[in-house]
Amino acid sequence: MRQIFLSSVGAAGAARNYGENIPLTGQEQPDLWQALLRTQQAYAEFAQAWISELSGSKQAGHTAGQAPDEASTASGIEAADTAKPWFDAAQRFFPLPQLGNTFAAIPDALTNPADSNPFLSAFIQSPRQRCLLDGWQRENANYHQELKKYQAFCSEVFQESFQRISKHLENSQERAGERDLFDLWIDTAEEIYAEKTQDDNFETLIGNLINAMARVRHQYNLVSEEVSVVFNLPARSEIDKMNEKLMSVQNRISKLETHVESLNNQIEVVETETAAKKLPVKKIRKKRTSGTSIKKRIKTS
Amino acid sequence: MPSSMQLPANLMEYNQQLQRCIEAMGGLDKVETGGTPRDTVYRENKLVLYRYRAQKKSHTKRIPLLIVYALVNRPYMMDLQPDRSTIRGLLDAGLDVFMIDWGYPESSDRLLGLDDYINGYIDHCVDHICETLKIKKLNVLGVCQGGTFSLCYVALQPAKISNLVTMVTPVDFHTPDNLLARMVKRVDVDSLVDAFGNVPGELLNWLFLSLKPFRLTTQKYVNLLDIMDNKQKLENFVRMEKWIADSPDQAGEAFRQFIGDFFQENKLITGGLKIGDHAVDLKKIKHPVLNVFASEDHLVPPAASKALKSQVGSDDYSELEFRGGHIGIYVSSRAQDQIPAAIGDWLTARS
Repeated sequence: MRQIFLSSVGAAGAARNYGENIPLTGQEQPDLWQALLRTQQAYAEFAQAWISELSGSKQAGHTAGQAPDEASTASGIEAADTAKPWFDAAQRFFPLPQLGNTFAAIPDALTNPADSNPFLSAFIQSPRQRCLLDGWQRENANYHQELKKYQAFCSEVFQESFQRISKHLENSQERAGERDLFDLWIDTAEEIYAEKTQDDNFETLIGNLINAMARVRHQYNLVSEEVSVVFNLPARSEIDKMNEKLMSVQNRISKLETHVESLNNQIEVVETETAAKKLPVKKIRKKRTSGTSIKKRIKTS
Repeated sequence: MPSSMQLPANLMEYNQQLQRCIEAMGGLDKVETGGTPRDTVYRENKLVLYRYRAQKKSHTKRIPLLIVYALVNRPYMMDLQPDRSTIRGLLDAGLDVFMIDWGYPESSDRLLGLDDYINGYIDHCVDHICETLKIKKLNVLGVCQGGTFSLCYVALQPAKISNLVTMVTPVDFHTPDNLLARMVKRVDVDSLVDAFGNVPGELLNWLFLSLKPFRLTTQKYVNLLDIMDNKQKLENFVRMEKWIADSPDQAGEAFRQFIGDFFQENKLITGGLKIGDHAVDLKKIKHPVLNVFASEDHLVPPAASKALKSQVGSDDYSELEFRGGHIGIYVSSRAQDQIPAAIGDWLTARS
């Protein structure tokens, strides 16, 4: 078991090395490595949890003298009990997609409580700034409350999926391998997730979570405006105004270009029509001036 | 359940497999996407319009087609790799393929709205192609959100379009099985856009992964072990991962309007949709329409696409059902055989 755990640490190191050289950059950077490492770590943990559980089962009745297959013919309930640590580990290691990255753009300095953060402590100078920070911290706390509710929802899905699989195993004499059990768990969890997301509460849950996140960001923006002013940097509101002006100018130019193009088209039409009208006149003139050379006509004109 | 003796051995083997997999991935070259030769024929702000070069010279007169892709994710999904390329298939079917790449919006693009995208960028691309090819009308293939944009565009500029193909395109956003619509139903989109400016691509990715969280964030990586000895399949996997994570931020105003008018108020169905100052009425689409949808689409449920039939004013409406999912319709080998050829045949019959 120890060996499994150690080998997983080694593999994690290898992955980290590869991660540094991974030829996917910027917007192309996938979360693949995080997912792989999580899987690796999770399975090492599963192994520990499951094997220690099996060791306990042996002490309880499956003696060393028993053939492995005999031990594995435990009743469905025992089988389900044996699988429990596996699912407990799954619950820890396979959380639903995390929102953390959304805040990746926020500097660490602004994600710590002000009192323990030298940067922010130095920055707070006026009651107004204190008030802004309090507002940010309040919304941050609200967001984490909403996040906890969402995690509780995920936890319910995990628990119910385990219960449903336990029942399935109780009623089934099939002998499933780890991989079959894993796939069964995925199917069951998705099934339960789909059922639960039909509830109106789910809409509220997700809505509240995203809205809370937006409020944190709003408060963060207010704080960052203050910070920008302190450092004599252009604040976001100023940049936004510049962008608005730029956009307005671009739109006006675009309209003018369209207008100019339309005028050019009209001019072209008029010129074509005029040329068409002139053509017979030239012919008539040609008839009248028959016998006169072209050069002479040019000179005359 | 496996036996107590078998279990440690299995887990040990699994662990070793995982290590080999990580090592195998370390040995991969940089994955490339695309591959079909193309030329940049038009640029505007971040937008680039590409024209793809046909490899086979079998068709003397090619039928022009403009692909309007979604703002979310990147359009190279249509040309992921040589053996998984809808674009290559369309070229082989005798089409002259153009595609819009919207680029990555930056903070200066925060104010771009649907009016800019639909009445501005798409219209300019259509004009440019028509002018270049000296044609008066163009065929359009709208993909996913790009399909919704195309519907609005054709309804607003019917004279510029000859045939319309929509692919996995949401029309009715309030079908009971539309989980994405349920997830954003109670989102205060105004506050979100006001706070973030451009909406982070990571947030959208989170929403997409949350549609099937266990399969998309867990099972997929465990299944990776099954293909670790196959370099080609491993590269395909990484290529797909690259695409999934390559999620551009969304221009704030366009996002506000799209979530508000389409997802929350479902205005394509309920009416009252305006793009800029222009009212959108799908009944004005009297063009031939081919609606391609995927029967197992978890992002755009088939019912959301099939609603188009009753909304357009066309007498020549066809549907093509693909047995697969939202991504499989571009990249599965079955899709390569079926989809581009079907679109090519349909357009050829009407050109």
